[in-house]
Amino acid sequence: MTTTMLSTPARPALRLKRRDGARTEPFHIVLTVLLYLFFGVFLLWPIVQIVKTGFVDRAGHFTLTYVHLILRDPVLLRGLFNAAEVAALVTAATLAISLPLAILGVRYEFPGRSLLSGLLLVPLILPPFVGAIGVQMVLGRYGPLTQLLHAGGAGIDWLGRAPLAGIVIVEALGLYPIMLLNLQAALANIDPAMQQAAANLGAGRWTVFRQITLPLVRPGLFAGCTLVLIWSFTELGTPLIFDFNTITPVQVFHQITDVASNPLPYALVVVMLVASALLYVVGKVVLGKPFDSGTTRASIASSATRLKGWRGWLVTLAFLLVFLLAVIPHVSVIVTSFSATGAWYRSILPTHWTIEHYRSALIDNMAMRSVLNSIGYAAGATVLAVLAGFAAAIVVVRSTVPGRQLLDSLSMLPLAVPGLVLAFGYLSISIWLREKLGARTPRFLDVQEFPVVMLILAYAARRLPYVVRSAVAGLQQTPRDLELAAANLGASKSTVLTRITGPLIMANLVAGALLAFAFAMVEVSDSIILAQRTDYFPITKAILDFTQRLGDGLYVASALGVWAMVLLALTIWIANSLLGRKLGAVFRI
Amino acid sequence: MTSVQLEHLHKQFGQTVALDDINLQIAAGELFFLLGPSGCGKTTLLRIIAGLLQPTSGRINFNDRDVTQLGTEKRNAVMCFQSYALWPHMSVRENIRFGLRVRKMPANQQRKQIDSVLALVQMQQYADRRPNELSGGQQQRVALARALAVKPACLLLDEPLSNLDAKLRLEMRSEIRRICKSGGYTTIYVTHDQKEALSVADRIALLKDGRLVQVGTPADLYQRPANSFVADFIGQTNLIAGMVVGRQGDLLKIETPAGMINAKGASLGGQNVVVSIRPEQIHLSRNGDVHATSSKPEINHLRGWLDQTTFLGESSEHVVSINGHQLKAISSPPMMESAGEVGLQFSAADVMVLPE
Repeated sequence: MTTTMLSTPARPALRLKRRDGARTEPFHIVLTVLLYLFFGVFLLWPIVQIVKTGFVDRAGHFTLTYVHLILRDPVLLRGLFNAAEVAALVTAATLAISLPLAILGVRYEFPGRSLLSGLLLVPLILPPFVGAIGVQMVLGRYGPLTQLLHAGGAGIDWLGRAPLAGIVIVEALGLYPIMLLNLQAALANIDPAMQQAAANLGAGRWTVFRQITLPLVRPGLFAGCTLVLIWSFTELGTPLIFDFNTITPVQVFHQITDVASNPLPYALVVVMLVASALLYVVGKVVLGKPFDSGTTRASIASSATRLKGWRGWLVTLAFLLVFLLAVIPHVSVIVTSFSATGAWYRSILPTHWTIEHYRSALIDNMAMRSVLNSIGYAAGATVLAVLAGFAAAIVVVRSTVPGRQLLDSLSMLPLAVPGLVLAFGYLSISIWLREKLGARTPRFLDVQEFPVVMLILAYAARRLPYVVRSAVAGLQQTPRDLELAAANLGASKSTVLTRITGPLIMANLVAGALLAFAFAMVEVSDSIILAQRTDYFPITKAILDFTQRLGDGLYVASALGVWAMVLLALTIWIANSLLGRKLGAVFRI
Repeated sequence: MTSVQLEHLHKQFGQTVALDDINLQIAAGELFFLLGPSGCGKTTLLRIIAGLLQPTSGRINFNDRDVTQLGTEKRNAVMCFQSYALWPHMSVRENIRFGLRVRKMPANQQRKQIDSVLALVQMQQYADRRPNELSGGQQQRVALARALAVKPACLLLDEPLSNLDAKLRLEMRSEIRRICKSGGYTTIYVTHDQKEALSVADRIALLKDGRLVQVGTPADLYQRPANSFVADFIGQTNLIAGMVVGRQGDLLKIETPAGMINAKGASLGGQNVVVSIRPEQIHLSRNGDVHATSSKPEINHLRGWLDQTTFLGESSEHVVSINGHQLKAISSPPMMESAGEVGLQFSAADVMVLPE
């Protein structure tokens, strides 16, 4: 299934000992310059802009006043602590869920293994905050859980008792697949001889795990932890749905209205950025040191041991349980979408069913348009990401242009920079331009007027890492000789590119593209911050908007969420049937 | 020093029989080779001895103690993996220390032991390098040192030289023999390279399709092959099918497509046989006085057509056609001849008669 693109940051790239026939052509230099421009304008500039707004006062002098203001404000400080607490708990929870599953899944063969391994990735087709709507229903004061426990009367205010717990549960259930994919990829990459050698020398299972397996999966562990930690640290949608305001991302969001005059949210974003960067660096130092892939590549085909009898079924049961737990939000979003307004209350299942909300979602101008908008934005971003990603991969793998390593690192930067930060960066660039240019500002650069261009660019930049990783892996697996042979037979550079290189890594490109598309469809931060006019709402923003509408809002939002799920499932299914087993191969880098 | 006995070992993967009734006695301190073409089951056998695989049935004894049910970590039958399996997150020293630590050896003894095995494989100056900073040959030495450090009851080598280039392979052959013999280790060595086996082994077991074909010293296998597979696999040979048509003293008269061939040796019972003649035993001569010596029945004389000569440096290889049958002959020192009629001579004592 759709697997391990998210795990690619634990990359084998550039650690090739032999760079077969890599050389610099003039067009490599052109590509490099263009890519640096792209990264400079769409990645670095927004970050610089944010930092500047947070640290420079009206008179243009450097100041720590804003940061100081934050640190002296107990509410904002509380928000930071809450965000950190959520991030730590979510990361720990995803790790606790994923590590056993990854080990069992890689090592053992049990009934239903491949189906269940695929099903465990289902949470990826829905952003956590949509799942939050479902969890909110399930954990409502008079919701189905309360009813199941026969606690009528005053009900149980689950979320009121432990508001952070709800957020942590939703995010953990939504984000564990990222951790799982990384750990699985890392575990599958270990040469079984590494562990066998240790056991053969007399080490027990626990020693082998602690001293050999764990250190060898460190890069995967690092990638998984970083992605989950940064994602949950800056997750905006979920606490918004839960109406939990004392958490930094929401505090930033609520100040967005007076953003032009108020530098405080920028300073807050800077604090988040610095915290994320620190986490990344610490993680890299503690976990990240990669190994030469040449010595860790499997020499023996790793074969899973078949678990016989009840042991096998026990593992099946464990996988099934996690899956059932993980789809509670999805199922309850689906149930909500079919429930008559207010009918899922003081009952285990809704008392009245209806398809009215789907009709509402279809006839509602904003809802339908948001679906089309999202498809359009995601498609545009995908094209852009594939072009830039392919170009970056060619420069990184096939050329010797100075600075290509930096380019490689830059292309991974969006994984370390919170989406919220980039979104704010774009917003701040747009505002800055309007201040400078006034009425002469081109319409497509003015987010408040026409956010489409900025949204596409933001989506493209955020999803670029997947495409780059995918294309780099493809190129590295394609011997340079195949291209040289074509050139040697008289093919021009463009012919080699379109007739040889392109087709050979097509599977990788398509896979990266589909993943970029799928994740652009469910992108949250950029969508919420940048799309401010109803006409241009993407699907996620529309869902959020609906949840704030009284009456049937939550139900229509759920129906829209189901539309999104169907769309994404369809994308992934098409990818799967287009590429067949190749897709799996692409992800097993 | 540990002797190894394998009794009726049988291994099946699903429907595929990987090993079929393997019985072997390996003496303490012996350098024993498992030789065979790829897919013959030799690595499976090694992994079973290491305890990394369980046999479907049969017994493994170390010094007459049954270890069949013992896990790999308790067997002390230490393996050098074909890929070396050096842990990339540990230095050379740490890699070697691992086995000593799990055996709870005191730290000062560990240090001494590490230094001594590093000296044995001549890698002292690389102790603090990471495996990926070493060449293939150096990695191979470290893998060997890691295994030797724990003083294994039995050292298992899985194609240890297959990842090295030809020159290094030659060097390491004698090196491995020196190291194994100096420590007196019982060593089981898997390879598909018959030259490696011939030059290093005390004894060789030749496997084919999961069965033992012949067990013996290198000279046994080379000079007294049990059948045509062994003759063909060990060294080069010419195999010709023939029929025993009579006896003359202690000589068998065998009719073959290449002509009548005399062979020394007892009759095999059946009439249909295969004769094997090593190329280096065949002497070529151009015309000359072939007929002068033809009276001696213990020297075979054939006439053929020299098709092709390949210069090999210290020798030359020739392809000779006799009645459409091609024979290989090796001349040392090299003999450069153009195509044409030649005489072939070889002693009846050098003709091996094998069952069909």
